Amino acid sequence: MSILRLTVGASLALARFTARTSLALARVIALASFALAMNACTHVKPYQREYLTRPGMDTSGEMMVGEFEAHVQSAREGAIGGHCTTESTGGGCGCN
Amino acid sequence: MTLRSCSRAPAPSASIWQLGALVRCGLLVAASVLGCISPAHADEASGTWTGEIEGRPNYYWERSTRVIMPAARVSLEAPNGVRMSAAYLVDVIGSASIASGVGKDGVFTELRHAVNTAVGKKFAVGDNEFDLSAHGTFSSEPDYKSWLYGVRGSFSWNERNSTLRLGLVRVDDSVLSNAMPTFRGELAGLTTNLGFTQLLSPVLILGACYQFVYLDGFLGNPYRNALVGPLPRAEAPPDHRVRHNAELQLSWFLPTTETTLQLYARTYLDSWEIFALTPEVRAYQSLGRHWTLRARYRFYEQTRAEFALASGQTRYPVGYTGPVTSDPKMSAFHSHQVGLRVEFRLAGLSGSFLDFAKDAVLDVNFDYQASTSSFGNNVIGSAGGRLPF
Repeated sequence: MSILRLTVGASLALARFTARTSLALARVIALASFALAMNACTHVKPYQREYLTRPGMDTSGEMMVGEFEAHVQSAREGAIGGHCTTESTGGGCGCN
Repeated sequence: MTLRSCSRAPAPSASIWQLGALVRCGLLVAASVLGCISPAHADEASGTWTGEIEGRPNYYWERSTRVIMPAARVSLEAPNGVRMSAAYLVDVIGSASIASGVGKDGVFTELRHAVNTAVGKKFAVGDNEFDLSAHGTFSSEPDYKSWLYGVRGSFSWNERNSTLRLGLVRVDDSVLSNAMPTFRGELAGLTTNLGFTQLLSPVLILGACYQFVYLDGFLGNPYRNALVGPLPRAEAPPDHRVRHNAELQLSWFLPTTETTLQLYARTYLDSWEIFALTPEVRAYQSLGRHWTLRARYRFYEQTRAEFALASGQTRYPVGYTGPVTSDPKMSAFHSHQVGLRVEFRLAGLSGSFLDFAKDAVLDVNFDYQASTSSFGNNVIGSAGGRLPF
């Protein structure tokens, strides 16, 4: 029942917005496919990782700031989530 | 309750509780694995505990609302590689209106306390790496209690060039009303995250993630009313919501100038027919050994919920019986956000009597957002420090 309800709800919403979202979704799929394709032909050796720890390449130090910002956004924007590094912050945050 | 919207709705259905049972099972499995499987030797060589302390006062300002949120976190890693963290924050919310711009009631202040704990561990699987963690958060304020708990797993292969992540989070909220002591609403939710990160070159990282959120229960604000004809009616949006998020992130380091560029593209769609796009660009610039600057620009645009009033409308027609809302974030609007972050490393303390703090980092963040929503423009500020040990 739950799966059926989720499927129907999501399908209806998707259908109603097909025209507007198709282009954006196509771009997402194309870029994701590009990433998977790149997986097959690139390889970074462990000794080549120096630059991956530079500011901006490693953003682990910004996690706590990001959580606060996500908290604010969930209270002031109708769309939340989707961040690769921050999940729901929980609590009375307007994230309904 | 200022920074929230809730609605009148029946109790969550049995199905969402079954999903919650799934998360609880996942937590048990995570705990069992963490307790039984041999460590991945992450920290065994040193035999010492390592960790980090972070403290951070955050600030949010807009026309009718102020938020001050001091927060602190301690992270530890045991010699056997088990990671633990605990965080605490207090949210001090001051608002000119308890209904977030809808009502005309007086100034009020509210406190929210939240604690968060997490435990995790990395395991070697041949030449690959598996990371498993469990986390939980409890948030409490006079008219809102929230439990959030979940599990995360990630698997890295190809000499950690590729990483796949999966997360499952369960939310259980209880909504009360200071104005109506007999009022009680329940909200249950399930979030799943699926992410993929790929190193494209020594200076290029591509990340993609998809998030699915299912909410069932009380999704409005018990303090908020909408006008139906000449009469106010308690806000009542639908009691289910399905949300889809997809994000792409590209990080590119330019060695010649010590600059990192980040590009984000996010698209969002939900069953209330809100559609949103969020492109963002960030630039990091290192200035010598100690300083790093980060500038950002973020654009956000969303359509209105199908049951929200269109721009220029102030009330629903007489006799309207469908879902109603007066939540500004259910309307169509867009915003521009610019921000600056300054980071300073205390590497200069090396060799001094403050040598223990030589790896500490201080930072200041300031963001300004110009928004066409009725919440108005806002300022987000934060300053903090991290001390590894």
